[in-house]
Amino acid sequence: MAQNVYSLNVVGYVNVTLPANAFSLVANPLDASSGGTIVGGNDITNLFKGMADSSTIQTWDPAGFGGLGDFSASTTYIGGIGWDAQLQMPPGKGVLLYNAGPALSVTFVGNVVQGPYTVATLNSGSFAMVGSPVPMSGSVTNSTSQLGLVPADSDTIQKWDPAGFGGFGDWTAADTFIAGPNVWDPGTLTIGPGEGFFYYRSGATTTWQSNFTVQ
Amino acid sequence: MKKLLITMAATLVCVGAFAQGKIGFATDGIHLAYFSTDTAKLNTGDSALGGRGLYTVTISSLAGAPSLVADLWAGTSATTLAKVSSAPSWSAVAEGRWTGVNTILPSTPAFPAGTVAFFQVQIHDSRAVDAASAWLQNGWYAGQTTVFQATPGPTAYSSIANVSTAAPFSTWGPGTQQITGMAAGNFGAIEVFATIPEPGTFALAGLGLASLLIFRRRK
Repeated sequence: MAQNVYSLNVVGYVNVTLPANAFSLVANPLDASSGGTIVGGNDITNLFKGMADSSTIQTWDPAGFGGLGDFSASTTYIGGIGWDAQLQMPPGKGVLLYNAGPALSVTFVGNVVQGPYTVATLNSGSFAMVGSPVPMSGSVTNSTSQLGLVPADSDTIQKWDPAGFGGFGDWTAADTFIAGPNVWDPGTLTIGPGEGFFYYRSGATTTWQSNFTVQ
Repeated sequence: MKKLLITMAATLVCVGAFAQGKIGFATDGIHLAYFSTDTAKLNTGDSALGGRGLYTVTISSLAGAPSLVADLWAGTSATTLAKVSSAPSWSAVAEGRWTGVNTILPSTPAFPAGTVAFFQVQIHDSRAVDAASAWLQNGWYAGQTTVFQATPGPTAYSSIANVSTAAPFSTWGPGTQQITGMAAGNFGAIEVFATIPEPGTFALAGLGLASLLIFRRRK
């Protein structure tokens, strides 16, 4: 008698719209490396296809600009060819993506990351460009505390506003974590699935480890 | 080709924008603004606020209902400071904190990213233009830091309160005044107080006035 075999994997997809001719802060919300879509897994060559010519991707380099932190050199999309370099973008890693064409909907496909998973190392006194490793949305708490990130007093979160700085894009005002009442102040930011954010670690260096389970 | 040129031009504009120094006018748990613990420096009716942090709750309970603002001053030297940013509001939940402001520093004088600049935080009664002029008025509150140095970033708005040993970014020294009613480790670094004339001052002024009147009558 054949026994039923159940898979614990949960596969899903997330659509993220990239505004036209603008920078967006994007984070991969699904793991495409196992049970994902195509060979290439979480590499940008798999995640972002059919981009407009001259679209770019930059990561955050905390050691850049003499230790102040800065964006890395760009990886560029060559129309008809593809990205000019490979770049792994595992769930939770944020990148600044410039869409050099009309508004574009990108579909992330893959497994929902479950169980212990190291999202990022958050270095003290440093910024990190990260995102929820699973397709969660809502207040910043959903993308942080509920996913194993333990904020310290005065840690901050900022989003990227593509319309900021006269349309060139800029960081939003920050939500700041206040220890004691353990709240984000003013707590007005919301983060969508697949949306990255800029995290400043004021406390001691820590490892963000999620342990998410689909109920 | 045309698209590439447009993209390059846009990138240059962005780089130009990013080249201007950026700084976060924000505070943290060890650089809080607080009302002086010396009640002689507080107006009548405000003595209960001594040692408390400034935020919407404490400020709204001040006698006479003045409003207080937090400004960031910056300069390329310690003696050429000018106001570059103002906080739009005070925190509603956290004592001692104003709402942080992303601040792109002016182009004249230039504050290039990566170059150390001089800063000062001033808190003052909104009827005055700065802390010094507020203190010239009897009973108006103000406070300020000493001038400190910080390095504006190229892309991120690093907070002036970032004095992490891992990435020393600002020389603004941490405060030492434990904030009343808050958990240990919350320290005030900006003492806010008013110029309150002592009773003796009033008596002396009255005596002087009386003497003047007597002198004039005899004359």
